[in-house]
Amino acid sequence: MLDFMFIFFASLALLGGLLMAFHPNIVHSAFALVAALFGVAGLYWTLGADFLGATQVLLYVGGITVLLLFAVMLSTRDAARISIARYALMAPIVGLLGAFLVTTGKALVPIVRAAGGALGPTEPTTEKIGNLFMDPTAFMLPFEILAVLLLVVLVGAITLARRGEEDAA
Amino acid sequence: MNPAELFDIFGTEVFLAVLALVLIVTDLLDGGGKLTGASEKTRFVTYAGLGAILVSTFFLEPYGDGQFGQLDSFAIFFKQFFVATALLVMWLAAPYEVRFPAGRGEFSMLIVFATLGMCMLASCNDFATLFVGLELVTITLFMLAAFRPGLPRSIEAGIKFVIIGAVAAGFMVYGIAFIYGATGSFDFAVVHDVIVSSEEMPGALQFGLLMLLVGLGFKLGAVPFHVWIPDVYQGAPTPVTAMLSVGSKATGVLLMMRLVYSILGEAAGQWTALLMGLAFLTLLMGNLGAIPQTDLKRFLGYSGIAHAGFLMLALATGSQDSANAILFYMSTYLFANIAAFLVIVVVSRTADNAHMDRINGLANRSPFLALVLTVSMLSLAGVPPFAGFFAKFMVLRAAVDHGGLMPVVILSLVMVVVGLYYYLCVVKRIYMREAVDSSVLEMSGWTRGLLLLCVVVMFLFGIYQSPLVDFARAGAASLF
Amino acid sequence: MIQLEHYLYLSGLVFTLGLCGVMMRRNVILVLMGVEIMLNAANLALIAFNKYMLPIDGIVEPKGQVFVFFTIAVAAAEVAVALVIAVALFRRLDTVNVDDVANLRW
Repeated sequence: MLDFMFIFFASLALLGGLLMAFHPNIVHSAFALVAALFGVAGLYWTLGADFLGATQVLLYVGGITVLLLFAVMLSTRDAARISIARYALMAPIVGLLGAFLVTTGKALVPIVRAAGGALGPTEPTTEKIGNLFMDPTAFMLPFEILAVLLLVVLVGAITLARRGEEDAA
Repeated sequence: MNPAELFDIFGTEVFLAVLALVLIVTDLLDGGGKLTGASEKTRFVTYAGLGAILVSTFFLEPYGDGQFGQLDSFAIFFKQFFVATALLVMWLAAPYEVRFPAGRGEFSMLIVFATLGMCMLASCNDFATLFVGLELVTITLFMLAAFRPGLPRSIEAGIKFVIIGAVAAGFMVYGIAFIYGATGSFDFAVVHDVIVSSEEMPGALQFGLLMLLVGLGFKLGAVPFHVWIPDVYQGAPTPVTAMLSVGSKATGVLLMMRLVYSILGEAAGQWTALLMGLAFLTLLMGNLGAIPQTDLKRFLGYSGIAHAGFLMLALATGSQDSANAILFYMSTYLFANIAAFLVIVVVSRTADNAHMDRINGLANRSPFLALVLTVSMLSLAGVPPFAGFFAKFMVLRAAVDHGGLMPVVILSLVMVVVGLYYYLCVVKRIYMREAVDSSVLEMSGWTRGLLLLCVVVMFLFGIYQSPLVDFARAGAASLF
Repeated sequence: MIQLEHYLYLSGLVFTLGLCGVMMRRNVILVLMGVEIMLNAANLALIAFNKYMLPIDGIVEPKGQVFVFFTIAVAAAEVAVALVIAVALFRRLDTVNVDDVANLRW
């Protein structure tokens, strides 16, 4: 069952990623991104990360993609100009890099310390994650900085997005 | 761990956060809803706040058991450096700010928040804080680079910076994932233990650290992650370019030093060849790229890449002497760059660009500015008796002592000569060319004061280095 | 049986696809989508490592998952800023194509 789920969600992620990168229509690309992100969320669930799977769906699939789609609608008149032909030169580089990444995945595994866990439903992780966030010896500091970061982005984005003030100079 | 102990380590950051919030409120109350125009109160609060925080950093005592961030003398040095940079950048921004279409208050606030992120990185000792802190700095600088959205080149700088920065962040997270996979922890100390205790570094760990290097190389501006530097430096508003060239580069230097000295530690020797290669390419690219430039800010961007090459050479050396040299180098680089950018702000006021023609015949228009820019260029070039000479000397002496770095040392000596050529070309424009625009250059007393300060520092520490050397040595001491 | 390496292969492949998107697309928004895919690949690797981590005293703390939470939040912030700049770019220069933005030489 879990093998099947892995294969299903992995294909979703790969297919979505592929279409996102190569589909000539920008809106289709954006929807392919939704599929890919949803596939990744499914993979989180197969790994027992229930809270993050839900966060992924809410934030990425629901939030970031909508934001991206809005930007597409606001800014793109012509259909996405695809320039694969012009950038065909890059394909070998990317291909080599991909081969490198995949082979390293293989070569690295035996050395990786990880050896425990197996697939399967486990207990919910939400409480543990919450405790780690609030634990001063664990992740409290980055959590606080994250709050600052979001405030900064809020203020900065509003400042930059103001309409009507064209630069005098 | 109680709140008081927290405050002992992160007091500076808390003060900076409070200052930023106060700035928003001041701007709101004082601006009366208007978006443009300089607000004297905001300016006063920024200077007073940053000045007070700078003073407070000199009372910091090394503290902390490393469990939750660390406040060693190295972190304190960089906190002082970053707050001083922010203060000087805000000082430099004063004559520029009239050109901002929107929010002076927001500009000050973003600079303060970027400084907060930098100070946080100075005391970070785990990868989660490193990542979030680095993104706080980077994302704030994205917005600052595009802070004049009406100006095409500012927007262009912003968009290029965002894209390359986001890709670098992607690589870095991928690297951190593998570091975590190989060691089971995000703590620098645990990663260090795994590296030192294993005969050969695990493949996953090596891969992860290399990917992390991409993210840090991007901040430092080392080849091949330097591609954003010339465009962003040229397009961003000048005070932001100053912040990028000093603060952002120092962030990269700081984290590279933590990586080489604390995380790799005794195993740093394995990386000497890699860092040496990067130093070689960076020196070559920066110095040769600087020669044909006709825009002052772009020129200083390439010059910054060249300086990153020297810093990489010192990192490849990896000795205590080279750590001292890096801190000394950064301190002299700060003042030389602030002086150069302030001159750019003053001379580009009428035309709003930084084409090199703007400084033609500067000696006739304003002998004082001509002197400042000349001293700054000579210090960057490493001509005695200015401070930049001694900085380069320290780096090279440490590298020669190391022995294995001869090819890069020889290249860097050649590059010093190349550097001398293009810096002197700038000086030649100041004294030998006819001015294209002979309008009077107006400066406030504060601007004059800052220029004078930079010149005095560059000159004083060029002939009498020992206080600054001692200061740098005390800062680097806790790494060993 | 699905093992850690399968997740790592997948993560590497997805990362590469994201990189393809970044390098071949010239539309700023599509480039950003590529970056999102890259970050997701990294997140997937983090969670997979977390799942297969060797337990200490019988427990594995979900530290990798916490880190993924940070990545997601930072990515959201990054996208927000990037889109603001992209929209400003469109408003000013009437394009979101990276190739058309070349007042400054690359």
